[in-house]
Amino acid sequence: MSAAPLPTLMVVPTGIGCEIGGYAGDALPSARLLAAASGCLITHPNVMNGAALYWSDSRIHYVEGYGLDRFAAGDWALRPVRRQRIGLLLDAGIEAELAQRQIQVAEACRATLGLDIGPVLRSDQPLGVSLDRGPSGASWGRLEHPDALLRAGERLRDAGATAIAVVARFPEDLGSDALTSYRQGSGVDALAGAEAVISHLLVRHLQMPCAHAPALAPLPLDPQLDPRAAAEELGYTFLACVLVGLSRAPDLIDTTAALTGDVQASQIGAAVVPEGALGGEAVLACVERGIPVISVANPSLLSVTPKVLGLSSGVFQASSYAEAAGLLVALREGISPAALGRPLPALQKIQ
Amino acid sequence: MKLLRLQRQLTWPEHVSTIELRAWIRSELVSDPDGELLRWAITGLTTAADGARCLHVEGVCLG
Repeated sequence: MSAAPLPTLMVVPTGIGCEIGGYAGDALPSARLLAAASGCLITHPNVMNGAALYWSDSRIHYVEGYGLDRFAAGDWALRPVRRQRIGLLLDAGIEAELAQRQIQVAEACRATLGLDIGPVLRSDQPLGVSLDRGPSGASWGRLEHPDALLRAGERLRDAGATAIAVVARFPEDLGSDALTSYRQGSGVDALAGAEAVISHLLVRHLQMPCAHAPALAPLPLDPQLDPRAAAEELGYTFLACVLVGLSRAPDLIDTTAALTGDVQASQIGAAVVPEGALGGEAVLACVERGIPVISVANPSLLSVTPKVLGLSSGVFQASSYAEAAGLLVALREGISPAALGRPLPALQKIQ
Repeated sequence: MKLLRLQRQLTWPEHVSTIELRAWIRSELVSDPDGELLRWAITGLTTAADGARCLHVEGVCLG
């Protein structure tokens, strides 16, 4: 493609049960397609993390949700790096054997993928994660000891880590209706909201790339397992994708200190978002800037649509991520999307 | 530090356009004594019989 890259924001909000992207990295094929179409895709761990499965693409910027919001709002810029040194933060609430599994993933990523990982640190007290749901049904969670998380993050930063992978012990939900529904492809990821809280806290506090993987005991075999949830059942941990994502995640820079080559909100050419999930801060920040929004049919718990928000201009509807990719190519090439349909809209006249 | 769940219903004033909505919601939420915003989103919108629009906002703040 001859046209310059069109920096594009792809958001699939965490914990709202999106048909595509509400499971274990199952929006990754769509992200790869949008990256190819745009030449530069900025997206978040919920899109890219498939537990033991991952995809590394130099056109994709892996930016945690709090950082994504600050980037879209114009507060932070993204500075591409060759590599990050990833500190591994383990919740003191993780049992010894399960903690050792996490460390072995880190060792494997060093030995097999050549990632720069270390040091490793256990928090000075258990983080105490608990799970809950909001009135909308979206998942969320809380930490009993958020300060322990931040203290551990500071120690890793001070010891030379430039990014942080955090693994927190999550409560077992074995046998619950919610977990069964999720594994069979009809529920909300009950862990996702709490995961977002953990990574948001760290990124807000340290302004460096951070992402989270839960520590859980392996689940018994489910013959009815939905393919979208299958990536989480391949191993003992969900950590590999986080380490790979963080290994080349961009630095988060105050916009006032941005340099040539940094990616800034003013360069965003489009935002791609599920059509019922336009109410997040990053998407509203794009609306504020007049950035074209591509609203993709991707059902979820929410119905905050362009129509509900009264958005008419600057929004393009797409029936699939494949159609969204076509719209991105059009925008990238300077082709008016309106020229691609029939009948052509009437020419606007000003009296 | 404590993490607090945020649930608010905000009447969306007619003079606030969609383009101004993010800044307006932030200003409404930060005036909340509960603390600093960590994460929030509009999760629904209902319209009353008199036409008033009510935004449902969920999030997490730091207290």
